[in-house]
Amino acid sequence: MSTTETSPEENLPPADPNAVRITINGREVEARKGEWIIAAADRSGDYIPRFCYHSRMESVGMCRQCLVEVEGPRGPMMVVSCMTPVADGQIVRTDTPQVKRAHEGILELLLANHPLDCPVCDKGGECPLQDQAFSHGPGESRFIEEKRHYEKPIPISDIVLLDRERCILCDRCTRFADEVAGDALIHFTSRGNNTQVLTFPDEPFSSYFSGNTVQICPVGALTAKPYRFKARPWDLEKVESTCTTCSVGCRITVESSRDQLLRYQGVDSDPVNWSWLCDKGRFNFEAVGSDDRLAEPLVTSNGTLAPASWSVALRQAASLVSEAVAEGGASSVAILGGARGTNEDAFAWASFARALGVTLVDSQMGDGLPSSVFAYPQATIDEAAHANTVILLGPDLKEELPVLHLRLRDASEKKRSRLVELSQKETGLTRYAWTSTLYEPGLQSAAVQSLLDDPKVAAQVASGSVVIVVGRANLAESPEFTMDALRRLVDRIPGAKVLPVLRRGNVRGAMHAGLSTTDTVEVLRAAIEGRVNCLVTVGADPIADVPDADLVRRAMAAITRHISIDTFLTASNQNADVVLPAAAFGEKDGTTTNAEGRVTQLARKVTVHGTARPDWMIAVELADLLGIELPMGSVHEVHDAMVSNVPEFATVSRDALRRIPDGILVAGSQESRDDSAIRTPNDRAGFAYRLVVSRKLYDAGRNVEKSPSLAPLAPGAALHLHPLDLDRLGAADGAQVKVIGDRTSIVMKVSSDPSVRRGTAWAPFNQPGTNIGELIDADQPVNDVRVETL
Amino acid sequence: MLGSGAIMVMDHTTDIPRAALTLTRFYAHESCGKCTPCREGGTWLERILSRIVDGKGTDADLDQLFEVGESICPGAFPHASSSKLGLAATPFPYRMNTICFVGPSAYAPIHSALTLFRDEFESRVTKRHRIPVTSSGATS
Ligand code: SF4
Ligand code: SF4
Ligand code: SF4
Ligand code: FES
Repeated sequence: MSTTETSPEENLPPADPNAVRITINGREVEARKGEWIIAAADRSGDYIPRFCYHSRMESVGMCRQCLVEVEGPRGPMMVVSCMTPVADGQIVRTDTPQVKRAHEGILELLLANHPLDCPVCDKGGECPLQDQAFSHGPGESRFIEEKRHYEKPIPISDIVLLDRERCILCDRCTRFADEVAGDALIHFTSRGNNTQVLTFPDEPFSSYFSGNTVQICPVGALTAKPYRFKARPWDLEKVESTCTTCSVGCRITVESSRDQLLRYQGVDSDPVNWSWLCDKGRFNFEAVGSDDRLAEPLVTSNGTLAPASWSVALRQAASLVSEAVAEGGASSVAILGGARGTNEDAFAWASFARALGVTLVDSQMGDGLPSSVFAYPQATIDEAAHANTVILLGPDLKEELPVLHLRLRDASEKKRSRLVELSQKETGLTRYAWTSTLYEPGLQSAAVQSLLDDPKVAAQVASGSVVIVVGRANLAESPEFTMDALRRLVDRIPGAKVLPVLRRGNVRGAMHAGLSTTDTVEVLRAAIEGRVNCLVTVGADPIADVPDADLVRRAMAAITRHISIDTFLTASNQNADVVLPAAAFGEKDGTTTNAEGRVTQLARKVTVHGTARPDWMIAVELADLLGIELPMGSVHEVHDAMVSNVPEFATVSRDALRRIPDGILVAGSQESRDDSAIRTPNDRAGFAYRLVVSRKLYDAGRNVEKSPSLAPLAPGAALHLHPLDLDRLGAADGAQVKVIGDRTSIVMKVSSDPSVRRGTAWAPFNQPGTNIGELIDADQPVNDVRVETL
Repeated sequence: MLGSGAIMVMDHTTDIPRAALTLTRFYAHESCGKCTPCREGGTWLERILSRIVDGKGTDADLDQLFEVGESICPGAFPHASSSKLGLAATPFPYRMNTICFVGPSAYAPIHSALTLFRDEFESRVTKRHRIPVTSSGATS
């Protein structure tokens, strides 16, 4: 015998102690202890109709649609399959005349008061009620009484409308709000036949996650403004893709009709988003279809940007680059951006930079962390959500990576994990945290020290797996303090893993692909010193995104040649020499890398706006005009080149990605730790506040601003002080105050906010209104402000 | 026996359909609204029965009462025996599609009244007038 194959028996996985065998409709089915019958039946292909059951929420057994017969000691019993656990040897029937009668009966009752709205209902065509009425219903209704009537529809939030006549009271939306989002602002009111879903009086259902209720509503009772009446489900075409609005990388379907993006729906990706999306990710497709999108290249002539053909614009861009190289060498060319595109876009631009010898390259906007954060043992989102202890040393995840916030909230609520929070301002997770420490900017290492010296915390941390979630908590503070605290945490907690939470959709992919050889702040300083002869921004708006407003303003003014690749005109590129229109999300193929390093596929659904081109193609064409050959003729070729050249991407072949829609984790990073010493922040003057600046979910970023449903949700600029500090100042909540920094002062609204630490002042970044960045000096380790009443 | 298991004594002058309506209305009103059969079924039963009591019912409505009841409590439903009708009793328990006993309790009075006194319901439908009564039914 020459074969070395093992016999099939030896290949069997060890017997699962939780496995049970049940019989459904005469067939044996493998199930797991504790699982509901309906879940086992879903896997065995015996579809049981349902309305209230949702696999990602607790069962409530309210609609009674999922009745089945289970063999019992006194004959068959009718039970709800969504709340009856499987048991070894259980015999289940979903197909007897009794079960059929029960299904018909419940459906007839649900339809009794249901309006005959199907022809005008958004849900028609994909409606579980309509579908199951056909498949499991009685065929006709014998209900001849007058139906229930309510005013329809009523807005329950800025985005969501509720039609109570269509509601079948399944408790999915209310359960979601309470159980998943933790924003229990919708609930049932009244009783019996008058039960309704409502918001509390004068309190709209303001949740970052409201769109999920629309997706899980099994009828057309909840509708979302951006999609209402836009299409019929049978006209929608869909492809699976990944949201790149932030770096959670939620799996979605991208849906369009007549070549227009109309809807994103969450896909249940077990390692990532569990089918949930945040509203910003769900609804910012509106920006893709915006009339303000750049449709053709623009070239400056006589001081203004005017439309030009691609060949003219590209040639102009190429000559700007060669002039710059001729003047000061390739080291006088800078490339910023690339964190919002695909891995392929980033790799093509990184290849361009390498081929030309460009070294001033960064994909972050001075608002992230250095790439040495990837040098530590990396954790996945799922590992974080199952860790014994999660140490939070970063931004408010609810504002920056919303669905990761949901996953960690769930970990805490289900008692899997204890959250140990270190933050500069209370966050969305503070009330779920096991301990929460508010530290003053610059003092995270001291906070780490005293935290780990606490015997209770030390015991907790020693009791099992630890994941440190690390990101940039404060844009008005140097990242060195966070990196130092991270170093101390990892050194003191053996086996701790790190989940870096950098915000932009593909920032990790861009960094791995090679788009971060320096730091944007360095590039801007070089520009001010006259060392940058040409700046290329790739989907980047430094003026809006770099925290230090003065630095970026002076740098942009000093730059004599600016080539911008973007989807919109922005504050940064309105004075550029060449603006090349870029293809947006949904208009291009490729792959993306999320915060944990998971690479997934993106898919094109609609044709590009105007003559826009994907970023990678622009890099290749520009290189070509400069006499550099990048051997990448298609997005596939870019991908293949990336797989062979970038060690992190070695395992993400196109073939493998097609087979694994949940994605593949990048291979271990080549980065090394940076153990350099940190500065010591100077003492804060008596009447000064240490400044904390961080992001809100909705801001003045282009994708929000150009989405009509989201733009009004940006809270606007304001300086937030603790109520006691505000008292001491003698200013009224909402008054205008003068905020004085080292370099300048600005006038802005002041807000009383108990979630702010005393002695610090917090402001949201990049909001409509006064720019808080005026008070941020990137040279300072921390920034202080004084506040005066007017 | 009617309703939830409480025993009520009524004499021959009692208007049975109206008494059943009073009890059904009570349980339909008591529904918490959580589960479909009780929330929708209880009120539906009440509305059909009140039409019958008002002399506006049809033969089909009488069967419909059992049909709606079947969606609340499938299969055989308990009732007392009747020597007049030559009917044996059906014992407890019953099967139910609801979460709790409120929904079945809305059906129970209708089921047993209609099983044991169907003629009184039929006369409401066919003669369209009321049997003279002295009591408006067992209210509590
Ligand atoms: S919710 Fe479904 S059944 Fe109801 S009107 Fe809309 S499409 Fe029709
Ligand atoms: S609105 Fe929709 S999801 Fe909410 S209870 Fe009604 S049917 Fe269920
Ligand atoms: S959490 Fe991030 S990836 Fe997920 S839907 Fe929101 S923006 Fe998109
Ligand atoms: S799906 Fe089981 S009761 Fe609703």
